[in-house]
Formats: sequence, structure tokens, C-alpha cells
Amino acid sequence: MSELPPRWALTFLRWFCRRDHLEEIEGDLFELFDNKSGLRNYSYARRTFFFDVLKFFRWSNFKKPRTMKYLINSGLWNHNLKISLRVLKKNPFFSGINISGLVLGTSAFIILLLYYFQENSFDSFFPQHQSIYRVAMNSIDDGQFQESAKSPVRLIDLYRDGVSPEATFSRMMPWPGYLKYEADEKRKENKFVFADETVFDIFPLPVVKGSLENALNAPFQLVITQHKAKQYFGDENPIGKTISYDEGSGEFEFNVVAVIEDLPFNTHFDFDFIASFNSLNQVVPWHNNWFYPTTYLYAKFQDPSAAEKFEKLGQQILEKRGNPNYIRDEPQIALQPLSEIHLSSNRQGEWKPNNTQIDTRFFLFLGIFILTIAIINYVNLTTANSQQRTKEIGIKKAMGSEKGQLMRQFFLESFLMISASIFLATIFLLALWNPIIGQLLDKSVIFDFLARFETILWVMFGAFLLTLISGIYPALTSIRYNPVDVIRNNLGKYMKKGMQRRVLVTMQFAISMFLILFTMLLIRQYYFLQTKNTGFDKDYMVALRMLDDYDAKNYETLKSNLKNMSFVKEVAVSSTVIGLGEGFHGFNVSFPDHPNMTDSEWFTLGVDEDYLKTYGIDLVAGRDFSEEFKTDERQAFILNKAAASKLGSIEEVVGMEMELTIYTGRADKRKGKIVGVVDDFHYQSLYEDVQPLVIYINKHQHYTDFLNVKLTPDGSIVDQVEAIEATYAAFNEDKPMELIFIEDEIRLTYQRELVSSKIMTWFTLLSIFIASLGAFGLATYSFRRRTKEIGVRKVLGASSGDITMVVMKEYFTMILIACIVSWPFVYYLSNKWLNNFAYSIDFGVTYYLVGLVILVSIILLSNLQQIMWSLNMKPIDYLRDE
Amino acid sequence: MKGTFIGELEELILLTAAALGNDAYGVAIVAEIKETTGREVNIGAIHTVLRRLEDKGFMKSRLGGATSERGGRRKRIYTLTHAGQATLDHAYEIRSTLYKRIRPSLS
Repeated sequence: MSELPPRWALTFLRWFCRRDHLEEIEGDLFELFDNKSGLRNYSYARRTFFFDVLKFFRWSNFKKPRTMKYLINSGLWNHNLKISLRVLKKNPFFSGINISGLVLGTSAFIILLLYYFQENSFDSFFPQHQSIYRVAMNSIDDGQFQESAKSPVRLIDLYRDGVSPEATFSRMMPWPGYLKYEADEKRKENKFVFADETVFDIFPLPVVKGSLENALNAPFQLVITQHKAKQYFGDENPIGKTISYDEGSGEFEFNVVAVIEDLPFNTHFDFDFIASFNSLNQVVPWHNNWFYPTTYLYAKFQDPSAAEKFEKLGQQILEKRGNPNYIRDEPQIALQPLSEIHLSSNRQGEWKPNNTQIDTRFFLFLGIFILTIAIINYVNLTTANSQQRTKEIGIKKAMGSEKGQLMRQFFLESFLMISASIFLATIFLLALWNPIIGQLLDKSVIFDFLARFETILWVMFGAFLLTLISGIYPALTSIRYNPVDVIRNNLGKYMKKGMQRRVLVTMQFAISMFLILFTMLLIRQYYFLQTKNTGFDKDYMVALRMLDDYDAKNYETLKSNLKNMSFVKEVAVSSTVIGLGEGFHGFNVSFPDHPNMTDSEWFTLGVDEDYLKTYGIDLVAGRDFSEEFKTDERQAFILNKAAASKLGSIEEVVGMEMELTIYTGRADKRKGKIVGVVDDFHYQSLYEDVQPLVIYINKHQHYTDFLNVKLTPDGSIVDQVEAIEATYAAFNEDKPMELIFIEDEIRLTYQRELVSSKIMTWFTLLSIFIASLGAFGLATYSFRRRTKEIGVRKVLGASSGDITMVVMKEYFTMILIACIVSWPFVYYLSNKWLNNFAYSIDFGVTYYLVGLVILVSIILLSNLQQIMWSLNMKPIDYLRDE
Repeated sequence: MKGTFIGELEELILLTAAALGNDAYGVAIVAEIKETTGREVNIGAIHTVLRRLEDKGFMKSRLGGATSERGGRRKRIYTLTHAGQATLDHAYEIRSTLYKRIRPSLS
């Protein structure tokens, strides 16, 4: 037979056809070909050959891919599944530790991951958020670089005059006031803002009732959020109703034109009422100035890349205008992308405290750390346990299992464990939602996130990845056994090292060490901030805010009324309260003796003669203000040490001439002498060094904003507050009292540190718990393995101490390496973090040693039960079987 | 006798294979069917049916000798099993019983 069918058709056949059918089919095809070329001719046979091949192109003849064959082979799956479940059941102790570690680890990881997503989702729900910016201002204030989130109202003028219409601008000016609907009582609303009508073009907020079309065009129109509408109007239709607004200078009627949905959690805004900006002409007539930074300015550009251009343009116009009478020097415009505000902006006067990118990343890493610890547990315990499964593997191998099949067994097991723990973790999370996680995560944001399709894909991907990571090592170690060794029980050579386990455990120790030290750092620093001697007495201090012009003018009456109360020690008026972090207005100071110091602006505090006494602030030189000197009221100043040190030695400073220009609706220049110097007290947060401060006597209603009241420690605080409330109500019948507890206010300054250290503590405890679960499991395993050794040692007369040493010895190198690895990281990061604070603890060697002691005791504790067992066991029980 | 009923093509192939005796394989069956019935049966279909019959236990197969016209490939020779034979008998019985009712004279 010299003539052959076309080769390509045969190649095609061989490509699709399964091998066990191939010979027979090819034979038949050849025979047909031969018949045809015999009956007709050779070329006919060649032409039709391919069609004959096609006749065999059937499902039953196809090659089945290996995986497909495997998938179809459900028997093998069933077998693997059965074995997996049996393994779990057979060793409930290890399985329990394994699962609980994984559940806790994945829960923690999921929480922290969700937290990361939540914090990164801020403001990105606004359409085209990439082209929305906040126009913030930087400036130099007495040599100090200041960043302000707010800007003067007139900043928008820069862009109004002769700038192209490629951008939309809107101002938002928060201005708290008292709201009243019909006969209801007055309520203080801090989240009341005035905004330009363009605000809804930039931020289209979902409307519930009414319409945002032209909503803020006319004066005295008001848009309110849903829950406030409910609070004020109940089930009535709020549209068309009027609410009266009072910020201290009279009542104004606002007409409700629309109700919007409540702001979502993940926005940097914080407001409940938006009123039309042009109402301010009547409400706050002086608002339109270049002086006070009161307003947020937002811009939306047609072209997102225009931001830089606008920043430069604004800057140029700003400089061309010369000194625009802005409160501070060298004003600079800073455009902030909207969605980055929450994680990158920490300026003065933010809507609400923002987070930092570092903090959120830190928590994400914390989550990864905890998950790593949990997975290391899993890998360690599974490999340890797989050595007890050598028989199973050996026999499977002898029966002809392929490597892939053996590995599949282990991957299936880890997949089962991982998916079970993700499932349990989710239940765990939902069950725990309110008490713990509620502090960290906002439900609506998270549920919104969880409902997305991508999330499900990510979870599946995550489960798959975790399966690979946690399954690969047990799978690889188990398949290397030689079946002959297994069956002859010759496993010594696979056992002796356990190097990987040591490396992994060392890693766990290093992570635990890192977490322990960092938690200590956070807690200690927070405690330090709380308890640091601030230079003034904050205990039993409360402050009453002067709510309107009446209060501010007649505060002396209230002061003497309060002073007559039995539990009140001292009362003093002041322009602001320590802990609020603002209101220490920067005013111009000059010193005839120091001509180069003219035009400096220093922080100021307007007080009366009783202030220093009330707060227990120490004088280091000179005298306190006194009513005996009538001239004190306009001609005396007290500086703090930081201010004095700019002028010379403390002795020189007392008696020095000084001028201060305060602003009470008009410039008010005071000439006088420095009569005293006080010790530096921390009137700002401990993030900053104490700045120069001028204390002056102020009786002008512009700055008589607070009455500071020092209470006596005896008696119930509740009764005292009630008595003060009654006194205030008798004095001003119109407004509810607003009382500030100084200590709480100061504590709020460090809210972020408090929350961080709390979260950190909880998760560190969790990770240490997971790590000790693993250590406990491993200890049990290694003791089980070494019973004979311990038995022999005992017989040969080893003491309890000797045995403990022998067993614990291997931990020492691991701990040593863990320290060497983790300490430099801790050293570097802790210094970096503490540099944020002007005042911080010294995180020295002692802390590292304490961390070491904690870690060692945790390890000892998790081994304790096994150590006790080995000390009490009778060697004969474990040696006899040989 | 559920499960022993077979399709028309299956029965035809089973019969042909039985008739061919010890030389029943793909191409030979196709040729035989063509000769006796004039039907052109798809060779791919023959293979599939043969394998199905083998799965059902009506036939068994072995690899036969290679010939030069097969390019050195061996044949897969199919022979009837006892069950196959019984099924054919059963089918024949049913048919002849029914047929006899139509044409009683033939009996």
C-alpha cells in the first residue's frame, strides 16, 4: 500500500480522539480509504477521507482533559471529602485549635480589611468626585506654618473677578444657632451651614421631599435632612413650614424648601441644615470679610486637570492684590481633592476629625499580621499532624496514587477549613456587630459594600488564595515520603529537622513581639497625654458658654450669682476655653524695646482678674492682674514663658512696654506694660509645642464668651450641675444652658489616640491569643513525640528543672531571633510615630524588656500544662512498649 | 425484562455482528449492512453503538490482527455475549409471535 490518506486529517483525528479509541478508528479509516481507492480511485479516497474522519468527531471519542475527568469522577471527590472529615473528627483537639484560630484570624482580618475599605470610600460616592476640590489656605503665623481648612468668605472673589467659567464654586459656612419651630422648645444646632445655591450642582444630594431646583437662591430658605425634619415636624409635611433661627443677635425666620436624605457616614461633611448664603447679609452682617477664616470653599472643574491651573491662578491674583488684610501672613492657596480629604487632611477647623492614611494602613497591616499568625498555626499544626498520617499516604502511594491526587487531598482539607472559617467568621461578625465592631465600622457603608458583586468575587478569590497558601506546605511535605520507608516505619529521616516549623514559629513570635510593643507604646503615650501636667488645674472645672449678646454683656451678674453658691470656689470670664483648641485669636503685638518684633501676631487670651487663680496657673515672675490697679484693665499684660523667652530673660521682660491691637468690630490698640510671666501651660494639644501667648484683661462683650467655674470636690456633681442650671435659667430665660467639662473637652482632643489604642489593644490580645493557641497545640504535639526521650531522661535521674530546660531550650533561640528581627522595626516605627507629638514618652529599653518578659511568659503559659504533665508522668508507662 | 430492549439500529448491528461471526468489526459491519439492507450507515455511528452495546453487556470485544490495508492497525473484533444472544432471541420471539397473529398461515 503505497498511497496514504492526507496527513493533516490524521493529525486532526489524533488531536481530538482519545487514545484508547484511536487504533481501532484509524484502522477502520485506513481500511475505508483502501476500499475507496480500490473501488473508485486514489484522489476520490483522499478527497473524502476528511469527511470520514469527521464522522468520528463525536463526544464519546473526545479526549477528556485531566481536570474534567477528575471533576466527573465524583467517587474520588467523595473519597477525599470523607477522609478530610474523618481527619477532622479523629483529632478534635487539633481541629478545634485549628478552626478557632482560623475563625478568629479571619474575623479580625475581615474587620480590619472592611475598615480599610470604609475609610478609603469617603466622599467617592459624589459623581465626578475626581474633579471636585476644596480650596484651603496655608499661611505663616508668627513664623509658624498654619494650615486651615476654612478660608475667609471673600476668597471666592479671587475667582469671581475675571476667571473663566470653567469651574463652579460654592461656599459653606457653618454657623451654629438656636432653632425653634412654633411653640416647641429651642434647640441648639451645631450643624447649621450657610451655602451658595451652587452647592447642589457640586454635591447632588438625594432629595426626599421638595426640590433642590433654585432651593437656595432667595434669602432665608432652608434645606434640612430627613432625621431633623422628623425631629422638628414629626409626621407633618415640612415643605413650606418656617423655623426660627437665632445665633445670638435676633431671630430670623427660615422657610423649609426641601428635605434631603441624611448624610452618609462616609463623607467628610457634617451638617443637618443648609440655609441660603445670602441670608448672611442680615444674620451675620460682618461675614463678608478678608479677615476671619469661617468658610469652606469648594470647586468643581469641568476638566479635572484644571485644578493645578486654578491653584496657580488664585495664587497669582492673591499676590497681586498685595496684603488682602487676611488675618495671617503669606496666604497660600491649597487645593485638596475631595476624596482625599478624609485620609490626608488634618487642618485647623475640619468639619469633623479626619483619619490618616498611616493609621488606616497600619490597621490593614495589623489585620494581615493576625491572619498570618492564624495561617502559620494552621500550617504548623497540619504538618505536625500529617506526620501521623504517613501510613495513609504511604498506602495511597503504594496503591498508585499520583502526587497530584495526594496534594488534592490536602488542598481540599485546607479549602474546607478556610471556607468553614470564613463562614463562621461572618456569623461571628454579625453576632458581635453592635458591641465591638460598631465602634469601628459603620453598618450602612459596610452592608452597601458587602452587597456588591465584586465583593463576592474577592471573597472567593481570597478563599482560593488562602487555600493555596495554607495548603501548599502540608501538601508538599506529605508527598515526599517514600512508601517503602513508611511501611517499614523508617521515618526518622523525615522527622529530625522541623526547620520550617521553627522558622514559622519564630515569625509568629516576631509578629507578637511587634504587636505587644506597639500596643504598649500606644497605651503609654495616650496615658501620658491624659496625665501629663498641663500646667493648669482641669479637675472640677466647668465652663458656661455665653450664648447671646445679653449673656456677654451682663456676665458679671451671673458671675456674682454663681460665686455666691456654696460649692463654687472661683469664677472667671475668658475669651475661650482650653480644650476647644480654637478661639485663641492671633492679634498684632509690638514692643518699643524690640523694633524688629513689630507686626508679629501672637495668640491671645482675654480674661478677668480671677482667671489665673481659677485655673491655678503659676506665675514665675511679676504679679497677677488685680482690681486694685485700675489701670490693669487696659494697660497690663501677662505673657507665658514661651512668649517671654522671645523678648529676653524673664526678669527683663517684667515691666517691659508692650502694645496689643485687638479687634472688637474695630481695631482697639492698647499700650501698657508686661506685669507678669506665667509658666507655660498647655492651652493647645500636646501635638504642638507651647506657643507664645498674651493674656490681657477683656471686659468687652466681643470676647466675654465663657465663664469658667471651679467647683469643690465634695458633693454630687449632678446636684451641682442642676443648681448651676437653675441659676442660669433665672439669669437668661431664653436659652438652654451650655456647659462644658474641661477635662472631657481635653480628653476629646486625644480621641483618635484613645480609639487607636483601644482597637490596637483588642486586636493585639486577639493575635496573642491565636498565637498561644498555636503554641499550645505545638507544645502538645512535641511533647507527645518526645515522651520516650523524657522518660529515659527521668530514669537516668534528670531533675524537673533539667527536663523543663531541655524542653524549653529550643524556644530560646527562636525568641532571640524574633527579638533581633522585630526590635529594629519597633524602634524605627515608634520613633516615627512619637515624632508626631511635641511631648511624648521616652520609649526606652525598659519597654523592650517588658515586652520580652510578656512574650516569654505567654510561651511558658501555653507550655505549662505539658510541662506539668511531663514532670508528673511515670516513665515506665511510656518506655514499656519497647 | 426491562433493560434488554434495544433500539432498531442496535438490533441491526447486533444481528449483523452475529452473522459475521468472528470477523465483526467497524468497516466489515458497515459493508455487511450495505450489502444486506442497502442502508448507508455512518461509520462513526457504528463505533458508538458498538461501544454502547459493549457497555450494556451484549457484546464483548478483543483486539484482532493487523492487516496491511489497515495501515498496520489492529481490528477490534466484536462478538456476542450470552446476554446479547438472549436479547436477540427475545426480540425475535416477540416479533414472530406478533407476526403470526397477522399471518396465521405461516406457522
